[in-house]
Amino acid sequence: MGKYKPIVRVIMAAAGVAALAAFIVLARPPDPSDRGARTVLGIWHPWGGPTLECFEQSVSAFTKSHPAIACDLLYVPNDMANNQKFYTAVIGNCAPEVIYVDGPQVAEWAERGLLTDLGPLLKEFGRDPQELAGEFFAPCWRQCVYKGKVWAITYCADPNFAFFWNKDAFRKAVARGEIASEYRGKVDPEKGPATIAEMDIYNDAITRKEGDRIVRVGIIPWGMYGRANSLFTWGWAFGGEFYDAAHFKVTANDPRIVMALDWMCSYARKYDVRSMAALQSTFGSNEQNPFFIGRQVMQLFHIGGLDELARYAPNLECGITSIPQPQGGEKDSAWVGGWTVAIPSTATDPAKRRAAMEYILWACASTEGTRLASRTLAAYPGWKAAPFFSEVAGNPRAAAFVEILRKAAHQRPVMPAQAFYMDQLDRAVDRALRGELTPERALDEATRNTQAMLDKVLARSGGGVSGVGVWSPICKAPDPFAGVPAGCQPDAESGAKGSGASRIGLQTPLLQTPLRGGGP
Amino acid sequence: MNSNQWKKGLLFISPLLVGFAVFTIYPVAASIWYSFCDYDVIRPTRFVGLANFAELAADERFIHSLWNTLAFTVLVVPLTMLTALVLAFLLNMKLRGQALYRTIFFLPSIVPLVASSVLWLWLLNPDYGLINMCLRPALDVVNALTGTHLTPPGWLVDPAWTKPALILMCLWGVGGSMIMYLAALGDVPVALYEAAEIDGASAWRKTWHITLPMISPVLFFTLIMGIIGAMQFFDQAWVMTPNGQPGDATLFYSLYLFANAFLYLRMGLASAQAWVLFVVIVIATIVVFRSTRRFVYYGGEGI
Repeated sequence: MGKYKPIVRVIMAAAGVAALAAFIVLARPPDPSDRGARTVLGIWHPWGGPTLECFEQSVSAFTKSHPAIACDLLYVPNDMANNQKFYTAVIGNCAPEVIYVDGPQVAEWAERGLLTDLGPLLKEFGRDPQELAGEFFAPCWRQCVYKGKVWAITYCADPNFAFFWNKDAFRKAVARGEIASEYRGKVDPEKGPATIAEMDIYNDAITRKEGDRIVRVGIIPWGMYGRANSLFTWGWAFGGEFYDAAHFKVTANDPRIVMALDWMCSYARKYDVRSMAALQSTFGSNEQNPFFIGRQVMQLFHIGGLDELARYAPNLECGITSIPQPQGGEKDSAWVGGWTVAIPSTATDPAKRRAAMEYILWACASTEGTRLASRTLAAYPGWKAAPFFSEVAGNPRAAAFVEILRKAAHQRPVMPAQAFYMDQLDRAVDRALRGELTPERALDEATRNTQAMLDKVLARSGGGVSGVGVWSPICKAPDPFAGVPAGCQPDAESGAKGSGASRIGLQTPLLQTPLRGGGP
Repeated sequence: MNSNQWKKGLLFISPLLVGFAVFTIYPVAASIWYSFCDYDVIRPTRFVGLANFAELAADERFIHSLWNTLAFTVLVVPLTMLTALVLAFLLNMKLRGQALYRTIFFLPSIVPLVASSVLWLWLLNPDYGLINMCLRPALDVVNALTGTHLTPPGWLVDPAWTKPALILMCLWGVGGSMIMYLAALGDVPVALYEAAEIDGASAWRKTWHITLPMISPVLFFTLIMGIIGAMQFFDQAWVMTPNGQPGDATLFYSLYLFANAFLYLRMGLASAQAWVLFVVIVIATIVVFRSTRRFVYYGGEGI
């Protein structure tokens, strides 16, 4: 055996070299020559699954009409909890040229120096930011502007929310005589409640208990896409304001918001919060949604609700209107969420930045771009002139949402401690509902904690917005461990790196986002 | 070994050494530094001394999360050990279909945590969950007999019952410890039992004086690992009660650490939190080591 050793060694070495060579060849990014002299844009987006194909179609249309630009798509689920990949990419200076940002995150990302100020680029394109602002629904534009600068452009606007009531359930309850005598004549199945007082009556009339269990409920005021979103919704409907942007002041304890929370708590007191939580926890989303199966007969939905309703309860006859408001509250109260598009601060190549701006303006503020986005992704554009709005005029349900979008006056606070604020509101609602704290004290506490957090974040950048500590030999963060290789170098050709990169039409990522990635 | 062999040896394990240095030693060392810094991952670090630790000491949610975790650990570790031990004793009996029973009881521990958590969300549903559907008729009988008004627990919607609910779920997944106890039970020399029987020892005395001492190293191991695991309890809580609600009852230490690190971008504070947890675990382990060592019998020590 011994005499074969050298031969075995040679064979093993040759196999090793061959394997290494094969790896290098296969792992190389695709030859850019097939793209000629095109500028390659890396685009990170949050759409997976079937929605990805729709998004890819829209990007294909862009590259067709802009032959000098090629796009590399990468699915990155960047919601409020899962954006580490983007942060590390920015620090490693290998972020893409275009990033989709959930609306409420724009301020935080701008504050921490992750995004490019789009103002100068817009001017290069002959677009005056002031004029462009007028082309968008006001709250959509507002969530893209922080400290007087434009950091992103709205891609889609989610009108939050429409009020749905189940006409069938009310009709049956009336026909069967299930409505208590004190409410008879006050409940009209064909006409939904217009005010909070009316909604309370509708709720009390339809809610049924069997023993210690609630078997049917009118509405669960804190069950509107989470407790924090519920409080935003009712807080604004009651006429409150959550944030004073001019003074960077958190105002969760605004007396009107306290009133809203107190009203929410009235349901917890009336029906026992545990019973309602039990009813709520019985159901999930989609086909188990309590509204679709008649267990809850009034509910607020964002536009995703229309698709779900068509899919899971096509025969359910329901009315759609705007959110009821209390006396002295805000009529037709609504707010917007949705995705925006931005350019990361690490995209410094002028040609790529221009291409990125070209794409953003096409996707967000052009007839073709918004038409494709709205047709394929069913996203409502934030651009007022989008043809989508006339296209859906004949569909009463979609038109109801368009109306809500037009009237929406709010967006979540444009401030750099959004996730913390949401958690604090969530907790305040929970504590108030369970009677642990009064609504006022719960909201005082949320205000105090969030203000302290916000002050810390703002103090860090001292008024302006921060620069990022990009790891590179020239610009090094003062970090005693910075000698370790960052492992991620600036990519001259493409921002989208890694095996998950989905080039148009070639690959579908395993992970999928819900149809409306940004949530409400 | 001569130096050439050393060199070759090091060369061969160099992938491990490099990986260990870059992906373990560096992050651990860096987190010590970050715990003294204001650091959000994105911007450069800024030294703040002990400010992070001072903030933690004054943070009532932090204290609450620590308390939740300690209470959970004190409850779940002995209960899971006891359950696993009882199951191991039962499954060690010479029965027909013994292997089948063992497999059945081991199965839950190989179900992915997220899948089992979602399943338990259904089981624990207060109104329509299987557990309360079984409890309700039983309680109705009790109520009828005693005139009480007992209702089934609210489990995950009632702050008082969330920890018991999670503990119940942990008890379902004790298969891993059970298998270790079974292996240890199989290792106890039969000769010892025979000698005890000749001396007229009862089954209880055999268990107490032979079985338990002989498997005590495994019990000790599972105790230590159980404490460490319970202190870091995260997955099920994250899936079932992501905000630690209702009432912060399931705001476990790791959940709060995760929120600080990845939701609020306070990596410096989260690093400080991680090191506090490390110190707590070390202290707990030392206390357990010191207090239980004399009950652990290693064959090599001689009888």
